Amino acid sequence: MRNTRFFTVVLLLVAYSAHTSFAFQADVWSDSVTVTDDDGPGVLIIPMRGQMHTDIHHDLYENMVDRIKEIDPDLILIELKSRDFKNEFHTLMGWGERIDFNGYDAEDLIDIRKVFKIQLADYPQIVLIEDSAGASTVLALSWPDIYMADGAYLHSTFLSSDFNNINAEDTRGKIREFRMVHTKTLAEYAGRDYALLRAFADPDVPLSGSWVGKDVVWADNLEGDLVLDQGVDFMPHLSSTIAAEVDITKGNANDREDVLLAEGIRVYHLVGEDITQELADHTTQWRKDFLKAEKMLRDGEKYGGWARGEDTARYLRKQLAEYKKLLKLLDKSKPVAARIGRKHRISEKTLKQWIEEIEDQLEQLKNGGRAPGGSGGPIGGGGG
Amino acid sequence: MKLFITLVTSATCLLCTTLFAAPVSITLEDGTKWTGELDQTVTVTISKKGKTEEITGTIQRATDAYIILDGDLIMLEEVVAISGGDAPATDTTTSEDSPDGEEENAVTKQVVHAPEGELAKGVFVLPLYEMVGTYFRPHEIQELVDHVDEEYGPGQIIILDIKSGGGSVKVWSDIRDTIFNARDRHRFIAWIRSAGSGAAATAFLCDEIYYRSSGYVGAITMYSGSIENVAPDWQLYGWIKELQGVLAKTSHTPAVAGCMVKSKEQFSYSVDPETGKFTYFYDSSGDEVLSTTGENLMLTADEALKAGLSDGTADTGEQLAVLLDLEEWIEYDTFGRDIAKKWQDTLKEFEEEGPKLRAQLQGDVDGRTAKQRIGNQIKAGEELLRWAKKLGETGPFMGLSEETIIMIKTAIENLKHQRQNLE
Repeated sequence: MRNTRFFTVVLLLVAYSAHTSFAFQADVWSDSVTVTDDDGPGVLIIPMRGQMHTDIHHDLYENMVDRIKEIDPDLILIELKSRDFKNEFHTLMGWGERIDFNGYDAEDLIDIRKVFKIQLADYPQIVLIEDSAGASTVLALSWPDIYMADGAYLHSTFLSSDFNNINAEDTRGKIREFRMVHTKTLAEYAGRDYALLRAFADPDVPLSGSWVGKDVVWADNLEGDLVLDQGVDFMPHLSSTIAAEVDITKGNANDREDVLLAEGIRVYHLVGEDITQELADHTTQWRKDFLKAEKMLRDGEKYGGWARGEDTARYLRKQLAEYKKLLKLLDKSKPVAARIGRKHRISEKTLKQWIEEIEDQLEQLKNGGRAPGGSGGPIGGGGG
Repeated sequence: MKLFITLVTSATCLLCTTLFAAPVSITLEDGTKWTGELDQTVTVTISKKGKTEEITGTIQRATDAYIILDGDLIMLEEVVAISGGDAPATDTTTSEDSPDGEEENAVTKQVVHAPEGELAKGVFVLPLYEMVGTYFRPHEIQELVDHVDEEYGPGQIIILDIKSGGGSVKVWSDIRDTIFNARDRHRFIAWIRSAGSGAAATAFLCDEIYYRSSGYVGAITMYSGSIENVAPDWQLYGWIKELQGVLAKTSHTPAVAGCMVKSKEQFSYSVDPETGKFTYFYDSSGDEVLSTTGENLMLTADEALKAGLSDGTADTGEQLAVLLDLEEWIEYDTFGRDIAKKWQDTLKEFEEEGPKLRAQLQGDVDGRTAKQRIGNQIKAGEELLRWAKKLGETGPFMGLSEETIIMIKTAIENLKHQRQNLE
């Protein structure tokens, strides 16, 4: 009952000031940004959504370079949402699909960035971070101009710190630099301080920043005006608000219109919508292919189990066909190969080995020999 | 008795009005009386903010306060005159009792858009009973919100009728997202029969909480699997922080969250005798101690009301309507009740059928021949797959996880292979 008056006032305000709830949004500044058919700068949207190195992989962008050059965009806007946990509460509870968490492939990070830094260097680029974790944070920070959505975070990762398993100090230092050198390159691409990017991937370094005029200079020590990472056992996890306050981002922006307005663009048109769509479709497509791949794996295993007695050759041939199809699919799709490897511990090399073994067995059967049945090798036990 | 009469009356009305149009009499503000029939086409003259307007339509419902004309609600205080009269069609008025037989008022089935600039005059009720995650889930809340958005517009009152001992915190988290996404445009009310654990946390998501006199809310400690397997402190304190964040978005104090999760946390309050203002304490220093070390708070209706943690106590719709500042208890439609019942029936059916089908898939089947028996096993497996599809995201809670589905599919294929070898 206590709330009733409050609600009366609120609901009356809603009702009197707006026809629908959507009218609230009419008050948002970025609603003044208009998308047209031809007017204003041509903006190409590059969606980077999902898991690093499967949904977001350098091959994808590499394959689009010629088409992007052909449409000659005035601005490339990268919309990045690549995180492990749905939100901070899920992070705390540890809820999430491990298989969908970001991996960390330094080479792919460099290759993705090279596409934009070198091949598409002529086109202005901005990144809108809707959320990021680990590899995607390091990737995002490799652009100089970034915005973040209100609820977004820049999460760090321990994944590239396998050097800490090495006891010998000198070799640990050596491998550590091997693992971390990519952050230096990426920092240089962005014109940022190396210490900033490294802090998100190296758990042993501290991070602090000092104001120099309106800029913040980052260093791997605790001497700065503001300390974001105490060093060993600490890693930075920055909210969009903090990131904006310490000059890592250009500010908060919740959607592309917000970004464009902040960049002084009030009228724009989209270009390369087919490219945007293809990139978005990639996520769905490879996941469908992955399910097909798992089915092939299961079917291969099943046929192996049925390859007994008089039916041995018949089902071995079927098993062989499934594995060959699977090999072809893994060869075609790097994300599928990566996921099959991660989930089932099966590589293309293993698969080739199984295929050879089955072919040998079929050859033996053809020559009147007996194939081993039931267990071991690919027969009936191919799955992982 | 009253329920019986309501049911009989409603059923009689429903049966009769499909055959005969019901007579209706409307008394206007100036005392003028119009008499006619429901489903009669009339012209209504209304005066609003000094402007007069004529609207022609069919009268679908008439009460002392308003009429519904072609789905639009018109307050009688705005009506200057009613005229006209065509042949009546059929009536759509019906009524329904609440799921457990509690007395409720009539439910109108028409679409009633709240007139612009006016508050909602009625409510939507969604029963959320039993376990959070299976019976009690975000899907139905979202479905009701979508329905309300589409048919009635913003500013509606959505009542979550809660009777549950809790369940999955992860599903609660999805419920939170669903409710918070809709709370900017609708008023969410928790009406408590009983709300333990995750159900209590769900009540905290609402703008207001009303208790039935026998209602209770609290005991939100997290555990996993076995009751002995309590979540570690870092997680429990994270959970408290989450609940405090949620409560901070309502009119209730975040201070109450801790003692509902950790037995060592305390909670007390004092009331200023002059202003009636509540002050809450995270320890036992208040005049009224509701939870001290060693206890886990479960609030009763009275305790909550006295502590300013309840917005009121209501056992019937009429009582709740008064607390909500509504003129009378009107449920605009039964959509929420219908989808809740449908889902409850579906799950109850699966709870009976699921174990039987599993046993059948594993070989507990009849049949004259081996081939027939295998055929029946396959049928059971296929039926389980159909259920998995029907249960969707709730499937894993009912033993139909993705892995289980794959196992069932593999079993079916193996059985088919076996059957083929018999031929």
